[in-house]
Amino acid sequence: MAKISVQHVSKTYKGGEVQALKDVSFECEDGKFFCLLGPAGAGKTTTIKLIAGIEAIDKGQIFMDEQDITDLLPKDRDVAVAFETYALYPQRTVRENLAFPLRAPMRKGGMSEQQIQQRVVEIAKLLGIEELLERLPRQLSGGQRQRVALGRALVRKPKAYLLDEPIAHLDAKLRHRMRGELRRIQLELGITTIYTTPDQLEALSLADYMAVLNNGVIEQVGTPAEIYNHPINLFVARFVGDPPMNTLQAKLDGSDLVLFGLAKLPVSAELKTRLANALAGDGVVVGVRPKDLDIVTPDSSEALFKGEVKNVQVLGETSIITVVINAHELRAKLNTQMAPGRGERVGLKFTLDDCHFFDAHTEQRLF
Amino acid sequence: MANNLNITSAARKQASAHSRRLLTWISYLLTGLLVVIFLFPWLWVFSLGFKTRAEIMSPNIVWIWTPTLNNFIEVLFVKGYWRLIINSLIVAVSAVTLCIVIGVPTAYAFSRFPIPGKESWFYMILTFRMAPAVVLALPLYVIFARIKLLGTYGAPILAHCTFTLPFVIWLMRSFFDDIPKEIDAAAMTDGYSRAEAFFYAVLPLVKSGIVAVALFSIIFSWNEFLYGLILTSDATRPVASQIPSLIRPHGTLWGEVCALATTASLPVAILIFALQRQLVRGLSFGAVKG
Repeated sequence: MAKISVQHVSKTYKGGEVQALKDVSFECEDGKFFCLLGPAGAGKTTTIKLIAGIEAIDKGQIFMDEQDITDLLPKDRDVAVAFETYALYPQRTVRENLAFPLRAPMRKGGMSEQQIQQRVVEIAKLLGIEELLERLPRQLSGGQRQRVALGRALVRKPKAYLLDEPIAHLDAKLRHRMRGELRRIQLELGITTIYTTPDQLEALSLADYMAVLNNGVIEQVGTPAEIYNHPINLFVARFVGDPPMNTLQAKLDGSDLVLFGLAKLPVSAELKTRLANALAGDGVVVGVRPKDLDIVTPDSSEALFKGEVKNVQVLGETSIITVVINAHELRAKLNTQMAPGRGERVGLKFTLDDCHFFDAHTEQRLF
Repeated sequence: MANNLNITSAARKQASAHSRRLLTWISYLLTGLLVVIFLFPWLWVFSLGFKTRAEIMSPNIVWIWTPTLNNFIEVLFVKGYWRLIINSLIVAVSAVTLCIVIGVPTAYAFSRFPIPGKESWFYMILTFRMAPAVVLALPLYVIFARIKLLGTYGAPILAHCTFTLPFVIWLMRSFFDDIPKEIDAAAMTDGYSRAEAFFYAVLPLVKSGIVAVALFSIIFSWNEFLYGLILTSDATRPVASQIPSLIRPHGTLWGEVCALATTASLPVAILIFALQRQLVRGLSFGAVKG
């Protein structure tokens, strides 16, 4: 168990041609579950590799508790890694794959053969792969291999778990279950965990703290609630939340905020001054989460926009409708199946309290 | 319409089965041809070993004769050439062992470590193998004479390394390149040092590759002629290099040449036969990604 602190870490590949990480800093408190969220190619796997010591850092330092581990060998860092690519030992059975970390020469004499076998069976049961113990990796499906890879990390009790998209290749139902299991195991053992995922829902539901990574840069670090409620810039706003936040180009005009050059949203003098002071140029991007958009009748006085329903997705208890307004698309999430049908004309409304304001030029959150 | 479709698809199926059978036959034919081309000279040599001098020299090919073991007895035991086969074994096994022990870790290093100027080094090693043996023969002779290695087993063993070692490094590197680096990384985070990861996680994966490479190297060494001839003494000479001694002023002892050649090819043939499966697996490498 340890606090992991990554400080100003940069990493390039191919002799400096590809910048994988740029001045990345974050801290994961002892015993916490920390998610690295980002699209493919954001630098999540690189971060994991650098913390594990598999690759050398170009610039910056990594600390575990107060110890500088930047130049330590992987085996001396005492972290367990689950690789996204599984990296199972192809010639060893599942049983031997799971036992492999326990048999490391540096841990010789630590556990008896019986204890090793017991631990292997324990972890296999936890992951629902006890039937597969005698199989070889090539005889397993992708999801099964991934569970073995996860098991090989969880079989030890290291200072930290580094899990690189460990459940990405499982089917939806199993993924949901494993998510719960992982959180339970982590809480039970209290082992610091760094977890990467491209799935914002996974990050929101698992993490104590999370960081949003994009193009090798940390966009924002915080609790899931902070990141969801106060996205620091347009990238985070659009990446976290499903369906993604609606973003509306707007301009200040007199006492109104004009959205898409169409609708006028009356704003208070106070908000207007705040906006005017914070803006670099004159463009504002107003962000509204689909859940905060409401459908009204098109001729209602409340309707800010009128448009045509282009698409309706019914997701059990909720529905997502896409409304087209002069070539702009807005999505609304309704807590009902009673959504308007395709082609129907509807009105949309939302309140100022639900709006996020971003600078159209810098894409940063205004307040 | 549907009926029509069924008929054409059935016809197509039949046609494809037909052409597949034809392909099978053609491949059998070609294989047979290859077997004849490769086996005929050997069978010819093999048969000559069991003939008398008169039968060998007869202007008409003698198809039916009473096999004699005289050539074998004469060359192997009376002349005592069986010791040369032992020499060949000593030289081949030592040279290949040395090359595997040095070459496999070198290949691993080439595959995994960021050595400055790596590719240039690698091609330099490859070009060593491209040099004709004669080019190296003289310098090697002089060097070995200086360090008193001439005439010992050490001379052909080291000389054979000049061509087997690049071969081992070259082939083993491509085997290692086929193994995902994550395997090493996984072992290292599992608590293994770099060297332990190599031994416990990576090496077992290239086992059949090593067997195949070693086997080829043994064949190279076994068949090598020039170094075996000039760098050794009568006591340490490998069998392939001693065959010319059967060319005498009064004529070549063809029967004994063929008997010796037959005997000399047996150990390698047996080895290949025994390790056939490993060999095929080693050559069809790359299916290890797990």
